[in-house]
Amino acid sequence: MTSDTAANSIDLPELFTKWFAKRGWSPHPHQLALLTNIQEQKNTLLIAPTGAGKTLAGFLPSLVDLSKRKDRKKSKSIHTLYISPLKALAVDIERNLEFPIRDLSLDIRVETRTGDTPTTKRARQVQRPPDILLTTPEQVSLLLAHREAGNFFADLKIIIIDELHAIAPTKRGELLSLALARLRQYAPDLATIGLSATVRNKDELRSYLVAQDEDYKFAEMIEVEERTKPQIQILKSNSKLPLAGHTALSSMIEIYEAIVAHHMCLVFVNTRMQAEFVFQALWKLNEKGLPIALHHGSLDKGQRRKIEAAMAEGKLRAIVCTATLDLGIDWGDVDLVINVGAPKGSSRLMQRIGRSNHRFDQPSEALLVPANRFESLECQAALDAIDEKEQDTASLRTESLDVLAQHILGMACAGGFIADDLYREITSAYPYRNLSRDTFDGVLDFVATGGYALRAYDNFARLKCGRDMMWRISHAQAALRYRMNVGTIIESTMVTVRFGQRSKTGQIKSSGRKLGQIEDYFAENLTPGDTFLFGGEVVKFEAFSANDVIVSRTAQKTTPKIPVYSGGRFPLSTYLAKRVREIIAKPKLWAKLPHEVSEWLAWQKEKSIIPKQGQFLVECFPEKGKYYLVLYPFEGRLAHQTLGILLTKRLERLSLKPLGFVCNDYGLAIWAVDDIGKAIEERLELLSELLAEDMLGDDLEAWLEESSIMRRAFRNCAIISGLIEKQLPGERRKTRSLTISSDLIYDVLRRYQPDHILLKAARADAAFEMLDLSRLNETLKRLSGHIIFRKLEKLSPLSIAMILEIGRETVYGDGVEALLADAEAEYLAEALS
Amino acid sequence: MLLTQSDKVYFKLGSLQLEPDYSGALYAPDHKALIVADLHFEKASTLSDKTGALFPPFDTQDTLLRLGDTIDRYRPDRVIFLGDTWHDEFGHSRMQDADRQRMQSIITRYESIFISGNHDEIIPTHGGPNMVSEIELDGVALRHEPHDDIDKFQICGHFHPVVRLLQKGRMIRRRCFYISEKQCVLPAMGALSGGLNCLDPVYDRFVSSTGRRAIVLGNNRLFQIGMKSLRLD
Repeated sequence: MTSDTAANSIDLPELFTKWFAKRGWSPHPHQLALLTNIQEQKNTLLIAPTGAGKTLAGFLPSLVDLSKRKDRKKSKSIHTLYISPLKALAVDIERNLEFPIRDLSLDIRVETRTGDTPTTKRARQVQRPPDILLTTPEQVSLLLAHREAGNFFADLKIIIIDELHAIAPTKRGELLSLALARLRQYAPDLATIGLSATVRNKDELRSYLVAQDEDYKFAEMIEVEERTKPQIQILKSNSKLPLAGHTALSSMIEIYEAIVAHHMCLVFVNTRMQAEFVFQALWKLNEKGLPIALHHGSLDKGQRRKIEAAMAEGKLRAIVCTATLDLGIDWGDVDLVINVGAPKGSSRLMQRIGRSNHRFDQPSEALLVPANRFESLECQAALDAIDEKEQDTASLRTESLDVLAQHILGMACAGGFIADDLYREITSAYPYRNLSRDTFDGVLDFVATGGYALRAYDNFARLKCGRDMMWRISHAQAALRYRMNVGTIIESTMVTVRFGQRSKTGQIKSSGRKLGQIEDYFAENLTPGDTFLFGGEVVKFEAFSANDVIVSRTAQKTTPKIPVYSGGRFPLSTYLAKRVREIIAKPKLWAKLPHEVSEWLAWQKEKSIIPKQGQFLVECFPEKGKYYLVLYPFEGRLAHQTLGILLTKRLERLSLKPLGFVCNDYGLAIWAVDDIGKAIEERLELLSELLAEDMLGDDLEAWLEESSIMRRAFRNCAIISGLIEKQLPGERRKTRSLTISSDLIYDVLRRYQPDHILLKAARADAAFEMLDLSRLNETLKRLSGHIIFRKLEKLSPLSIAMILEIGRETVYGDGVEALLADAEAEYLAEALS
Repeated sequence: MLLTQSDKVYFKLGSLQLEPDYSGALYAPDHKALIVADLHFEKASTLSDKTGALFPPFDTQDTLLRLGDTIDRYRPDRVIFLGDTWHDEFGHSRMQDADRQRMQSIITRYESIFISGNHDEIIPTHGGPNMVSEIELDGVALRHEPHDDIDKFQICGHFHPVVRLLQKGRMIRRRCFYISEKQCVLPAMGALSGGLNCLDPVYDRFVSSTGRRAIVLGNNRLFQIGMKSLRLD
């Protein structure tokens, strides 16, 4: 349907038409179209760019419906449920709704319910529900596990899911999809509204909003076209663009000049490390003393809120930030978005750019700053993609079993269920529409008795099935644990960083200011005296104290040992990768690129070869006494890492003595003692053997089972499914006697029941999220038969970027036992001397 | 003093000769005694009962298989269980039949001395005449929880010592024997038992500061690691 036809038959009460007229506004056609849809109880996906009045559109049907209500006292149920991925957004919406409700003199009660809501208010909300409840996905699950859930949602008319494009493709989205399925049971005639930015997979989101049965079903869709084209430029820096590196140091002056020339800028980077680096570099140039702030996920929450507030009040000129500001509250006054480094995906870039100029009729303005020549190609690819309106948002996740287990436990807490009914309900949720009954029964058994082959726990099962066929919770403690642990967001264990104070005796006390948090594993690699960038300053690590990392200030000019925060490293999207390959393959397109980039590609053409479209280039050459094998699949770092592991194993088996490998988003380089190039030249089939598709079976599984990737995935699944508890920082010791480390559980389970449901869930996660196995599989299929091989005398221009990364990455391959032997040798050598 | 002979590690507390094993057991050859600590049988089922989280019930089986393998390798006359053999006093009643038989066959074939721990002060079935609070071998006291005395010769369990070390940028966490000139703290042998870092200050109460080192359990051998390499959690 189009917006125009809907606008003809709308039912907007006079009260509202007058209100709009009084304020000199006229409702957007899409706002009216949505109103009509909801009045006809049609679930609807509203896709609109930022600034199009999406939120007001979302609430208009609720306000209109509630304004017609005659008797408000009877209802023990909420009318509208608004779900947002961010707590802050829910709170912000409450403020924004106040205005029209007051202005229209409507008798409507709006409340928020988040993790911060006090218990007394929560209890009261259940007793006396507001008309409109603003909340997060986790709180919806918690409400559904409440015994009063049936009453609370009995008259629910409208659900609004904000930022659907951000929630739906995650485990959080899967949990919410199950909650929606349950809500539809309580209130069969409710209408669901999804609000989304522009996405690739519109149909998936449309299906997500409605119940699935034998046929695929879709929600209605209203799409609002972008009125203006964003003005995006790639920075043409005066200094030379480096071949490798991600710091964009050479472009800092131009970035600073852009900040000076604009009113307010958002400077997006991809990792926290880059954020720290760019922030520091800008302040070194900041002669004018402009208020430039830093915002990333490791910084203390209080500090982040302060920065956000300062931005809202217009007190800042720029914020250097990571994905933490991809979503969130509208700030209005941003007139330039700068994206430093590779965009990684066109949709993400579009959403970031949309953060500037939140006025519908004015174009957003953006500046892309590549940090090296490959990134320059990627920026151009993203620009082309945006030009052609090509999106590359992630597909939805499906059938996560840990999420399912959490939901089943919640449903048992809610008062019980009949397995057949719950199965039907669950398969009506889009992500679980293909769930087999066997798998469902397996997960149910896992929730009830642990799902162990050894039937040890039938006596003290968590759930028991009564004579009436109802499964009910039979362990009070388990219900409590469910409520404490609901949700799917697992953050890595973090430790607090704070300044210490040195007492007169030289002892360090942890009484200083809290700076923020860093990942546990980064902290544990620190040695006293190490320096690192944090919160925009270089600090020195002094000591651990309880759960805190104690640091001190350092002299101004110290060069830090840079932190390797794990946060925010995005894989290159497949679509963008394809576009980068296209640009390289077509010399005609090089004219668009900065001079040194096209020159570099021309140099590659001369020294080696430019792979044509669909071709896959492999190069071999000697360099500094080692022999290199370099491949360019353009499939993203994660897939290349997996490929690297597999290839080194294969080379080892062929006795070609690989020493290590390094990869980036575009390719990977393996180096060896022996001349790999010669071996391939002598027998060309060797290469296709090395890259044979069947490699995904054997080697990888053995490696994966032992890897920390798998252990982390297992830990996350164990937490989400309710086997072990989330650990809040500082509570580590308290809960220890009642839990078991996930590593120990993993080892035992692997030995005695390798097909256990949690191991299955962890394997699926490791494959999906961390190693991009399916993507690698696609690649290998694509490659077969299209390999072009070049044996060179020395390194090629394209390979330089990769070779320069060597030494920056930890090389895989050392067994723990070998490391222990090293430590022992060190000790013995010392003891003997 | 620590000696290394043909892949085996020996050390002495006073006149008592001791041989740590990669399984976490400690062998006293002069007494033909195999000492094992903190087996924590049925930890999974105990916690599952208590919390409602259902942990994998394979821990007892796994621990017993490793114990059986160690006994086969040393062929001792007696086995000394250094306390916390069961995770709680009802653990025994929850053992799987196969595990109970495995345990029974050890008890019938070897003189089995059960030292009581804080988790298993009273074990109704297997304690019997051999359930004691401590014993002594050549002037060295063997008890579950050590007395706070760094001058006494003591062998104990209870603390589940582990080391954490950073080697070539990778963090390793492993169980270990924690020894000094007069004391030896045994690692926990239970499959699901956690650990307490050797650098925790609690050890200072009963581990002499002279001659401290960690003997770390590898897959098939031991590794001696100096205190310098160790890291806090």
